[in-house]
Amino acid sequence: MSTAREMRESIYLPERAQIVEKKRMTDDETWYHLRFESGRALGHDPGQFVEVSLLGVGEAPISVTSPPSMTDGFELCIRHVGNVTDRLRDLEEGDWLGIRGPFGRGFDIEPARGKDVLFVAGGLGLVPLRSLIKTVLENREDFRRVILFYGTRSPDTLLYEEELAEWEADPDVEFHLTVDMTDDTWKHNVGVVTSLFPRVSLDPEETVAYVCGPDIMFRFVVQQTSRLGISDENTFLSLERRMKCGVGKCGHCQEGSVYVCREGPCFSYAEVKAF
Amino acid sequence: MNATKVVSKRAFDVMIRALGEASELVAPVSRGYDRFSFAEVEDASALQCEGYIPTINPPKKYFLPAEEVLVEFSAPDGATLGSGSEFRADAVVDSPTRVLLGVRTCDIRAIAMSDRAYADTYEDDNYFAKRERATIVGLSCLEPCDDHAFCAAMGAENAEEGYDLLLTDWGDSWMVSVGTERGDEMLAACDGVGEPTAEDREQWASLQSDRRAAFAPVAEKISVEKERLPDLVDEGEGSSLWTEYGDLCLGCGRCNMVCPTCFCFDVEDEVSLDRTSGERKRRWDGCTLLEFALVAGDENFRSERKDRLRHKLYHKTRSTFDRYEEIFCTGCARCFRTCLVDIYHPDMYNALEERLGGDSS
Repeated sequence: MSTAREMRESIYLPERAQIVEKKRMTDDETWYHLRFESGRALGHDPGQFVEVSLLGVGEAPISVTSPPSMTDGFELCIRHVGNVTDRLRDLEEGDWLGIRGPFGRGFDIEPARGKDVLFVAGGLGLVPLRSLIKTVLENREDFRRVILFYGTRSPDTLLYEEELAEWEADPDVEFHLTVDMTDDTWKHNVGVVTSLFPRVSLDPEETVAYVCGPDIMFRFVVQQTSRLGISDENTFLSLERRMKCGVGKCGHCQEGSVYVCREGPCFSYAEVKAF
Repeated sequence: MNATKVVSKRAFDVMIRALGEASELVAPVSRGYDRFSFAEVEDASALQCEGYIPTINPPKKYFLPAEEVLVEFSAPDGATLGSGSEFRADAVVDSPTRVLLGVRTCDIRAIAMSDRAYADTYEDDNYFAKRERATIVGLSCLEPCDDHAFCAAMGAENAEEGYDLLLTDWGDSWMVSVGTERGDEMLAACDGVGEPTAEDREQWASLQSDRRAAFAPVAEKISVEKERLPDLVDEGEGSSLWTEYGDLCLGCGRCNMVCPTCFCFDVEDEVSLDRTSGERKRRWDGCTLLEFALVAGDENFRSERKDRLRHKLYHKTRSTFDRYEEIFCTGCARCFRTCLVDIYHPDMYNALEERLGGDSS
């Protein structure tokens, strides 16, 4: 009598998307090129994320790794660490999944225009940063120096190896690579990502830093950027929390007064300090 | 005060019964052991519920059910879910028409708070489909409901808005404050609605002064003004209080479940045994539960009970104050009544203030 059940649009309804291409990146990570069934572009900013659904299994928040300039679908790089992401490992080209988003606030790129840009990526942190790195490189003339630090556990956990080689060869990119552990064949630095800081001389007043990696890495990297004199306002981070609904309701990703999914996941360090 | 009328209880009941033909009527019903819960009723007689303390669960269950389907999905013939096959997914939005009778002012305030959270940035269709079809008939408290409520400390012993009608017991009649057009229409459907007489007005003024006197001690349950609470919780971040209360707290989440302003949820997929169809459901979740801030890879951002308890109070004070200029606590004390170890928010605030030196400037 009084109950009506409506079928309609909702912020919780995933949209169908198809895997166009899939590539193994490492033992634990796979890269996917996805396209919405509707053909629409994702329309995201670098640093934003989507909720990936395998209906019947669940949903997981995943950073978009492609730049906004890519309009034929979008790319995700997924680490297989949970129920949903484990299952995604078995999906093949042509398979379907659900997408909600893009959600949240991406990296603020404006402060970096006309300045030196420092990217610091640790492990899977390269995934969201890649969207921004590519955007910056596509608009190279808008920025001065582009410095990229990337660190992972070991050589076999490097992501985007082909692109790393391109960036290394690019005279317009100051590229520095490090791993925590390796063998004798490794030609780059050995040590945590902060050990790369002494290798470059930075102009702190004119540098904007974008940092992404595990929480423990943030702590040490911002010590370095602060010590060098890069302002908290010009240091940007992307935080990982349990973003479940993606729309600032379910509460799981709250950090202090903010919903990381809605006000973030990208913040300036000044904002993070105020949490 | 909003436009006030006098209507006989009998006439009001006739109107409510008529509404009940096209809507679900719900009101507090006694469950024994001095416990009450909102449940479906036939008429407005439940408004006479004696000694009604805040219900076990607040009326939020009608807008944010303890469990709710968000999406229905299925796989085509021969395929199973989760395998990457094509699938069909539809949003599900239940939207019953309801009249909530006898909602206390503390709960009226809480509903207004949830409304703001669920409208913030992204409007939650599932919540508002139900909220917009709900009529709220409030009931004024003439005196504190028990020794634990601290509503007056949170300014929730009155409500100026957030209801369609607000009733005050007036013998054989109700004194009715009208909050919305919808409330106006309801009154227009009642027989014999009258203006308050000069005598009524006099009695009303004396009733209000009695109420103020009755609630004055309740306002004293917290030693600081409620506007001070956000700073208090902020300044007390490193206090030993959290460890002490964290050791006491069982992390059971009961306080979250019964809180009228707790609106966090978890989402889970349920599938048929043959994995061809299923539902995505949301369920109440609580920030005091261990798994609440757990992410894939087993990192937990608040693995200690003291951190979760502090987060809860922080969210109800600082976070919501910064965002909505409101403390998301109505002082209904449901959290205390359900707590197995008697954690009482006013005690925590008072102890925190004392330890910080009692300087509330």
